Amino acid sequence: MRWFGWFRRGQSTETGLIEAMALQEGTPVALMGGRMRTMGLPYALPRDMEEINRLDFQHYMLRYALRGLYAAPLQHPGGILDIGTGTGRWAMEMAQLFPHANVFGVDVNPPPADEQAGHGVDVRPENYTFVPGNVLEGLPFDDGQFDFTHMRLLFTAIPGDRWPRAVSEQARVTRPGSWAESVETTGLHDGGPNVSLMMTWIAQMSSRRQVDLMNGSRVADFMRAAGLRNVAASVVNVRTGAWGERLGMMVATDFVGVCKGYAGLLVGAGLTTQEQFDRTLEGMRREFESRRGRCYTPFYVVIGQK
Amino acid sequence: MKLIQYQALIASPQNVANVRARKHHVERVGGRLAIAPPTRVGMVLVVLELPPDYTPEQFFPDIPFYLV
Repeated sequence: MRWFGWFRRGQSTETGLIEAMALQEGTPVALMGGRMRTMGLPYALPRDMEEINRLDFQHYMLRYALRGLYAAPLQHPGGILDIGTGTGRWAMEMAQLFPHANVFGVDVNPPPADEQAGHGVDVRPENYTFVPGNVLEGLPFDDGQFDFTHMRLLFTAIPGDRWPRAVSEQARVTRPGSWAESVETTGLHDGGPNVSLMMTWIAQMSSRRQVDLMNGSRVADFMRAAGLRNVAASVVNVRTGAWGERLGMMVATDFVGVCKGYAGLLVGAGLTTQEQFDRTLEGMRREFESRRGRCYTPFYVVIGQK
Repeated sequence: MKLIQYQALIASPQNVANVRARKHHVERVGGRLAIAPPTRVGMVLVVLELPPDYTPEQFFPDIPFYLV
């Protein structure tokens, strides 16, 4: 563990963000801004049980909003890849939906189901496999290996200059004639002053990590540049808050969870104070509960054929 | 001299080997490079510190370092 020596000292004195660090069960995580987060990635949201629950909730919210798990015209896919699989919900549901397909989820950390499997509780479908990897350095698969490739909500994870390469990698591992799909967003728009202020802080912090949230709306261009054809893009604008009824409140609840996940980092980076953050979060809740609000969240659904 | 810190989390054995092989280039310009033991699933955290005049791309163009 010599490796920790200069690293821990450097962090605590230079940035003040990393308060403690540990290789938690073989995972490079550190306590940053009061929550455990994966090191070595621009992706800043936590890696803890609260965040896992939020991501699962977000999965069900998206499945409801987009009326299903995918948009591409799938027939009988033999191989399916989920890039940045997160909690693995999408991949495991696809494995159940297509029992004859081999479904792979790739990410830097194993989903909870894979971690539990090591402790005798295995709820994973037999045709689902987790593979460790980081799309930012390339995917650990052969060319044309999959009949369907899928990326979702990586807009806070991929730095601006890495987007073309990430989508090129997705295209590379997609079988000729088969489909690649992306679902992204650019965050919340036309919110009240508190929602807008929160989005500004998140955009500023992301920018410091070389992440441009607006790239979520540019995936169709990246797909075309990667050589995919028949690229089709649609935008699903989800009313966010009470004026969006049940779904609108689900999206609002998810966003509150996102903001809580970022809170300590926003404060640590000097973008706000804890008091101002708390006031803004409360103001945001009021804005969401008001039926006069006109906040919306665009989801960009893009498919392209190899 | 104040060093700028970057991190990357990588899986490819080839990339890990490439990083290891270029460590002396980093040290030659006054930088530091640390490679953590692989995680349980084989991911490797790389921490790079460079003088302000240098960028990770100059040493590791294929590695997704980001500014911490």
